[in-house]
Amino acid sequence: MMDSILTWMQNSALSSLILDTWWAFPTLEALHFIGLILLIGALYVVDLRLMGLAARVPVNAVMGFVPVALLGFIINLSTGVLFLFTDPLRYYSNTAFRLKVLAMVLAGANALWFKFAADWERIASQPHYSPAATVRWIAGISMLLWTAVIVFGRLIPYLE
Amino acid sequence: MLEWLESSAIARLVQETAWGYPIVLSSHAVGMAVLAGIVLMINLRVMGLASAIPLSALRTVYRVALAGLVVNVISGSMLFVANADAFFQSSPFWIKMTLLSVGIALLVVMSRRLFNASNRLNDTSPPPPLKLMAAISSVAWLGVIVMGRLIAYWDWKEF
Repeated sequence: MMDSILTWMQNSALSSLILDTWWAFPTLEALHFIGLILLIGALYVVDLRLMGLAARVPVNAVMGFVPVALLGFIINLSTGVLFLFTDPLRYYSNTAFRLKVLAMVLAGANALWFKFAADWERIASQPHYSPAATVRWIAGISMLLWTAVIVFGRLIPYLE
Repeated sequence: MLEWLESSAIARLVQETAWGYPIVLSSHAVGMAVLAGIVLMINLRVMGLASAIPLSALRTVYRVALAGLVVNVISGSMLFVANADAFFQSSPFWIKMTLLSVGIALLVVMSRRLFNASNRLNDTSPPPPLKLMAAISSVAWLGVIVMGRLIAYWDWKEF
């Protein structure tokens, strides 16, 4: 099953198109880095506030950066999937890539935990909200996991 | 001079140990996310996003961004000395350094206006010149990142 998907990706017209266009890969990489700072820059600012730093920043207002993170995520999911098409078998078996995907899945689960564990009423009504211990933990774990996503991504060429 | 840099102890550490180069490269990517990511968010706030945030309240995250700058000046210098000759001849590298100077200069000027208690602006809506600076700064930092990435692709002499 996985093998046939990987082979289909490898033999697809999309794969040859990216590989045969000299500017495609550097352009996609530049976009992937721009998406990275949008996604992770926005999350760092939100998470630092949720960890209790910069308490003068109203917590409901800092949530205004979440759409920026989503935009970065969409850019990086799209460009990331296009990278996979250029060398699917290598990515699939690559240790750093697998760790990167694992860190992203954990970060997604952590975000779901936040959605259910956060005291949304207080966040909406108290600008100088001081986060509960659970929320501080979730924010700290989010920062660590997304930083790990960057590191494992950067290690893909070095950690087969 | 460039040869001396390339044969220095730090350069050899990055060139010759199996993990030296990937570790420095990863630090440079994390420092980039902290520095450029947070600066971009401050710029977006100056340009009007999340306008309920008092401008001076961003001082804490600005300091975190400066920590990213320190990490990247150190890791960037280590990457440079390991391959000084190639970087020296690379056009994307010099464009990156030019845009980096613009980005850092604007960061200094803007932080004085945003965070210095003595000549601080009002906390809600910055004047148009500051918004313009935020826009130029954002373009400069995105350019720094794109040019940094292109160093790996462009032929050293042709560009």
